[in-house]
Amino acid sequence: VASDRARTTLHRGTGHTATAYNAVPSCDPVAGDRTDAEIIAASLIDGEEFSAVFERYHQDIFRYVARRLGRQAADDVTADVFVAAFGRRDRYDLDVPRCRPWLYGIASNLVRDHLRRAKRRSRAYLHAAVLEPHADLTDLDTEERAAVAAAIPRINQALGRLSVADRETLLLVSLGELTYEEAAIALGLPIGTVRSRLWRARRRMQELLPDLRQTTDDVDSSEDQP
Amino acid sequence: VNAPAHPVDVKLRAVAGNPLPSAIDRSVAARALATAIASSAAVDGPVGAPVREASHRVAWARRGSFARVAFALGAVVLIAVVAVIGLLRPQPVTALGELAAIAERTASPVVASGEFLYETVQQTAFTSLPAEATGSDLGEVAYHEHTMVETWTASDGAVRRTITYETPSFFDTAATAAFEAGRLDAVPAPGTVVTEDLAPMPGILEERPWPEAPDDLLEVMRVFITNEGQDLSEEGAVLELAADLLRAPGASPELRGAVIAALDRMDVEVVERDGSQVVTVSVDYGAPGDRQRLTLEFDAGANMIRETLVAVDFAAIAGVPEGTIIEDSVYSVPMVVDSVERP
Repeated sequence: VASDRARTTLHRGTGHTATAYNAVPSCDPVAGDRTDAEIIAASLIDGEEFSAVFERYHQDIFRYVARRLGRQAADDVTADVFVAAFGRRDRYDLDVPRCRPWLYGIASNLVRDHLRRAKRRSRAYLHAAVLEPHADLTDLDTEERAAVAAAIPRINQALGRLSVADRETLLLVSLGELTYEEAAIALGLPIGTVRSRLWRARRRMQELLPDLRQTTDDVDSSEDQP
Repeated sequence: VNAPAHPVDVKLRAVAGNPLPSAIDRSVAARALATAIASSAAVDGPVGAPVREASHRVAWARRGSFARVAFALGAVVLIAVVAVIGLLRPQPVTALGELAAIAERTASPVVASGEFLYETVQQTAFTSLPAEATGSDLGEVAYHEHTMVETWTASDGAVRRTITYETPSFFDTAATAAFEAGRLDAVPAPGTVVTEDLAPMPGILEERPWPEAPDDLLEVMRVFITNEGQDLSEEGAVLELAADLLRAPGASPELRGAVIAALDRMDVEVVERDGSQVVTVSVDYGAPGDRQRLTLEFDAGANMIRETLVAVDFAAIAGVPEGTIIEDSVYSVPMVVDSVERP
């Protein structure tokens, strides 16, 4: 069965999930002085407090948005994520200590909104611009740079052929580096739905791009990225 | 235990790189947030009320014209006459047309402060374990994960959710044996209950205004899915979107009725089950070897009670029979309760 190699190993009792994709957040807010929820609660009285949420997650959210839209659009869209989160903070469930999935859910919606507006401007965008290559190609040699440039259109074409629901789930886990449980929270879905969507999306990608069928032993060390 | 990274994820991350914000990127976002914080403080101040009051007075001053009142009365009479003529003309009623009318007449449950909307979803999801995890020579093991999901949605949109893991089912006895030998049935063990508290999230209803006239709604749905650039057949994508709208908490009776009436205008297969008054709406999509069928099921009260995605053919996957469920969700009819306890 060529399918889901990324089965999450779950430690249900503790509510933690361990996978190879577990994101490494810029810091551990729960272990810090205040939880995200405590900061958001304080920001309901003094809006300035919300800046601490920005400090904690700006880098993570920027990376996800830049991976989806490219650096040029990322600064504005990332700013919109935090402005939108600030505007909705009174609806945040203060019993949830970490707000990371909530921010990614907002980011995911805004990325989709940005792509929709871009597509409306030009039908040529219809099956493109799902994923942008990273701009910092200077760390790659000529051959690697050419390989990335060649891969992007094919990957975008394949991503464009997924359903929106499957694509968003895949990209939140692969590019946002969310755990399955975090993706379930970000998308407001049961974890079983996240699993089946991921399974469908990955299988479809492997059908469309046969070179993605290689085993993990064959791929380079790029999975070491945070 | 860490599972190996999936090749698809590895490739996507390699291509997308690891872009980090520059000092300028950071200052752009910080400035935008600071402006929002400052604006919020200003709006919450005492200047807001007089401005709103003034605009309220201006709005009423514009409504004094006799001619406008007469015109409005004339329009109301005309609409009433057209509506009566429409009602008198006999029209063929389809199963979905009947359900749409029922949905429009059925008030949405009202959740007051301190109350919760309680729903259950019995879910089956197709998933698999990598060969490394089973430790056997079976390779990857595909199976169905079964869960019972219960949700309590508060009046402000916050959600308490419990997921109860049930015994998984396999497609052959060898896979079952490998699964049990590897003690994988303990992760999570059947009977495990996970409780999550979720913050309110914007949903499909906030994406855009959804018209409540079926023809207009269908047009907007088609434009919506076109913009999304999906690879499903058009009817398949519209049916998925229809399910999203019917599932959305807070959908008005008018919108629910319009969605069902829109389905009646689509190229879908409609089946009425004799005796049970259940109506199903199905559409197939996908290329040979990857064909799938999405089916929505409605009860006599116009409630969407089931949503099923089935693999019509599974040529690419050895050992998994055709007709395998990819995802199956059986929904309860929502009810209002006064605590986050199982009713």
